[in-house]
Amino acid sequence: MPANSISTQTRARELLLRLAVLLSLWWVLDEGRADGWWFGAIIIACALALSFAAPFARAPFRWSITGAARFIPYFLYESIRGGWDVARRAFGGAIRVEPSMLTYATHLRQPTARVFFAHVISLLPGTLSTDLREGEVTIHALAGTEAEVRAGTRALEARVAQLFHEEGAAS
Amino acid sequence: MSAIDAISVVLMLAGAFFFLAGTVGFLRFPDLFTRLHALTKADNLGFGFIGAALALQSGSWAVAGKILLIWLLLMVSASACSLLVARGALRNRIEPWRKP
Repeated sequence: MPANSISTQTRARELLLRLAVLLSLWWVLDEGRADGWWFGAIIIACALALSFAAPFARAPFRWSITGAARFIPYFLYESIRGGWDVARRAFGGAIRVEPSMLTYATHLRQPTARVFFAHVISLLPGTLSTDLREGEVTIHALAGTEAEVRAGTRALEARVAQLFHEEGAAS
Repeated sequence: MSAIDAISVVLMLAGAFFFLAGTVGFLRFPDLFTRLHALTKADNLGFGFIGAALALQSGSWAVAGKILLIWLLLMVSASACSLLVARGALRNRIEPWRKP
């Protein structure tokens, strides 16, 4: 991702966001106790500095809170469908799988969004990412026609695009 | 038994069901790729349900948050591992099983 417009405002937002994430992580890891706060403060300061240090700095990505709010229930519902689908096929008298492979060209532009997309494909019903290079994801499907698999993947891609503020990307 | 205990029992049973389904699928599915399907989907869901039951029983938001964090890390590692295993298999020319 070329750093075309990293303004001071974006930087400040990023700093606050990371601070909030680290604070909640510490609170969770410490199971809500407050007596070790000074130790937590040192660790959080170190982690914050480290997260901006060159070897760990990642390409900035844009994401949307409303996109996330819409994504989470969709993801949970689809996960349950995915698990149920596997259970049905596993417990069936004869194993009912008709696997196929296909390559899906994604419209997502940000590298982080593409990696996220490839990972979520594996957690959703009937699909498994087997490779990701440039803008192409190779998908192994457990069953279903190619058109069905493509339609499901396209729906997921649209959700991921919403999550990463790339509404124009998914067609 | 309180309502929370009852809900926890239901969630635990659901989690155990999906873990069992993942294991049965892992044993019965025909090849590496289909077995990865069973592991990634059913096991994540299994932990999701059991984790939800444990979070309810803990009675603490911080502990519930910790369990949620473990679940998120588990999903990331499960899908990353399955992607790497599948990619390794494909690049070593392991052909996916097809229905005869």
